[in-house]
Amino acid sequence: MALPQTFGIAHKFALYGTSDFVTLQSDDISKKAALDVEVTDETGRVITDRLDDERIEMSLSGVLLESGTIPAIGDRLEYNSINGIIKDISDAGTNNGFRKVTIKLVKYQEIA
Amino acid sequence: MPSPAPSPTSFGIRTITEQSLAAWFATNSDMLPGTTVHIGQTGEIRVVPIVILYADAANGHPELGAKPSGNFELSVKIYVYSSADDADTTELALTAHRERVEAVQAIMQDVDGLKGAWTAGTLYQAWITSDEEGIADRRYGNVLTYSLVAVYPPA
Repeated sequence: MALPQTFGIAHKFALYGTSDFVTLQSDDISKKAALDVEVTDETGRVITDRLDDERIEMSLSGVLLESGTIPAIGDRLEYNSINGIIKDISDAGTNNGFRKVTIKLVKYQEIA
Repeated sequence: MPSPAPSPTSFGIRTITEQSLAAWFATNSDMLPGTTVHIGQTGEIRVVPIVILYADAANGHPELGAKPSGNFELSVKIYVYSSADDADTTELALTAHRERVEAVQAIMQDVDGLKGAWTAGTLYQAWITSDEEGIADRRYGNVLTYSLVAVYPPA
């Protein structure tokens, strides 16, 4: 009788990169087309779709380092080879835990 | 004849915690007159009244996920034992025991002082989570449990 087969399938684990002012805990990268134009036929069914102006939105969360300086709104930040503009910053703490910083960025297609 | 144990050249976070607590209690020894303070598990002869500072567990801090980076949440148990025969009456002995427990809590409540006495790395915070009292034979005993968050010194 053959031995049981053991096998594994590797998956992408954890985060794409690091950050210099936080110990990164999570990332969230979403892509969408800012322009999504649909043309319908006489019965309302989509027969043409035009997607343009790709927009990448990223949310990065981490624990603020003792030596870390939180960037400002409008600053650039590169993560996973995507250079985004900081749009939103959340800096939250508790009396018995570490400070959590969440940065939201947007990368516009036509802005390098 | 067994050779003496080598002196440790590095310490774990629990040892740092116990030594720092011992240093802070030594600084405040006037608040615990006649009371010996021991740390951790030792082979020393222990005589009541006694305070034992024991960092029984250290876990990588959960808020840092899979990369705690030398940051730990520690459980520290402080045992306070007294004898019912240490005073003229058991009532007086119990009062003295409770005063010792109160003194221990007062020492631990000065977190800034404890941070200053920290021997290696950084203590972020310390807070009490429980105080349990009991009696066995002719001994009074309390177990005070604290949570501490601390980090190793940088490399």
